[in-house]
Amino acid sequence: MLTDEREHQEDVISLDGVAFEYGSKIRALEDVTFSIKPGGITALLGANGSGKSTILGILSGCLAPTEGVARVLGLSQSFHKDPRWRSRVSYAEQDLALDPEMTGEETLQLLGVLNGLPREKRTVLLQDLARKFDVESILPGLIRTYSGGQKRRLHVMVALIQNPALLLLDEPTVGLDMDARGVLWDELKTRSILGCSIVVATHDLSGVEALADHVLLMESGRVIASGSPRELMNGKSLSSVYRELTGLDLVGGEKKRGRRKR
Amino acid sequence: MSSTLEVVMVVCLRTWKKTFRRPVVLSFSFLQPLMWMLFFGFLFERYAVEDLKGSGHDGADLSYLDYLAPGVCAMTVLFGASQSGIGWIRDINTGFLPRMLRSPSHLTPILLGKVVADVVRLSVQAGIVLILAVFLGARLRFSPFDLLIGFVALSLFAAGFSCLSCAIALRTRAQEAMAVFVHVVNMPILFTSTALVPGKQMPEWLASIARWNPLSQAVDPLRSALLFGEIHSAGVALGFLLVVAIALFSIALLTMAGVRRR
Repeated sequence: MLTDEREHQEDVISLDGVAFEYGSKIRALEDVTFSIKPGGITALLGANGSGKSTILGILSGCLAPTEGVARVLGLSQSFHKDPRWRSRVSYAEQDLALDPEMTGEETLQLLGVLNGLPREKRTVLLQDLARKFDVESILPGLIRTYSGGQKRRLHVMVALIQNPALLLLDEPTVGLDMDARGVLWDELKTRSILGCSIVVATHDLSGVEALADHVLLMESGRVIASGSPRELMNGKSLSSVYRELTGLDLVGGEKKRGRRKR
Repeated sequence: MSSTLEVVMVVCLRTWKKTFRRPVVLSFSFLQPLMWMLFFGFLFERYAVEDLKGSGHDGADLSYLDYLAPGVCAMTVLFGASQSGIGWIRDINTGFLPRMLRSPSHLTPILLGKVVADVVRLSVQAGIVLILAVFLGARLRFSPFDLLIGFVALSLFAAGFSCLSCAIALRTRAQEAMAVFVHVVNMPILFTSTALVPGKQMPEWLASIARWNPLSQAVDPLRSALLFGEIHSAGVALGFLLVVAIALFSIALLTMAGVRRR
């Protein structure tokens, strides 16, 4: 019983002195240290190029820290090599990872199979997600015919088709209208209450202010402040807090940052 | 166990669907062998292959076109297999392949699905090339069992070469590099094999290379089956091709693991 309890309290994520360099020149993260307890929505906020996507890259195993230690779901280093670890983590990166020559239905089915979901469960999950995200009618069509918002929804749905312990989302609301954003945030909130730990990099401040449990403010590869939205805001808006701290605009834009690329 | 098989199937189906959604590429792949048979067939019409005099059905002399048909058949497989990695370069660029490989599924069934799809497609193409050859006047024998052995040899060659192509695609991640590979590797393999000219009529040094060229090992059993209606001993060839296929499959698996990292 004791060990169970300890396990429950163990951090889902802990970064200790993590730095990351793209190539040998561009330093994207500098001495990043934080940890996240299970459950809840953690929002990464920051201006373009502040290091949000790099953190998600490291948490997903796509990037290896140049310095420091990253522990995710109890494993450190090369966790991406462990299939059991992979079955507990879902990642929807910022760039759409979809094959335009496949249909949405094929995409979800394929990833469902790769995630080891049995057929019946797959079908139920797929229908449920499609209904929630209002894409039922387009799923039989080729993805290249979808609108930007439809592609974004499908891209995020693929990450949701399994039931991960840790969900990593990079700008999941880009290109979505208010209704679709609302649906996505509701889904995230529901999953977090059910025990899923969610880390989301976003510029969607209204969603964060209303629903995030924890916020990390980032600038130039460092975490400059963290806490619950209420603690950080202290009666102001997150964007004015960020401007006071950094002189930068949080909602500035959703352009791709020039600093990162594979 | 059944979910592993399901992964093989679903990846295989995806590969086929994508092939059939590009009918132009598929139909072009028949144009090339047709041209080779026409040009080579007529160019070397008077080229006398030893051991073929009077060895045909009812003691008829076999012509160079008869000798060439199985060679072009194997050539079609060589060219087709060497290009099978190109699809994966596109899949890396869309981000979809990295996403597939970051799923909890093991890599082996994913690669196996891709290879099975390619091998079956190439075998069908090879079969169609034989039918074209018959229409061009090649006198071939169709004895089911021997033909099956010939196609097993061809399939093993296709599997190995598909894997090599995929490995190179995943290492270089560039279409241009694949074009170089296709030209730099295919021509030497073709011209140092017994696909177009028998070993006995080559310079000795070339003949000794040709003997251990995997393409020769694949084409010789098929040719025996098609010209003489019998295969004396294909055991060594099949064993050799199997070892080559397994080695190249393993190399491809190793490169796939690297795709998980950006």
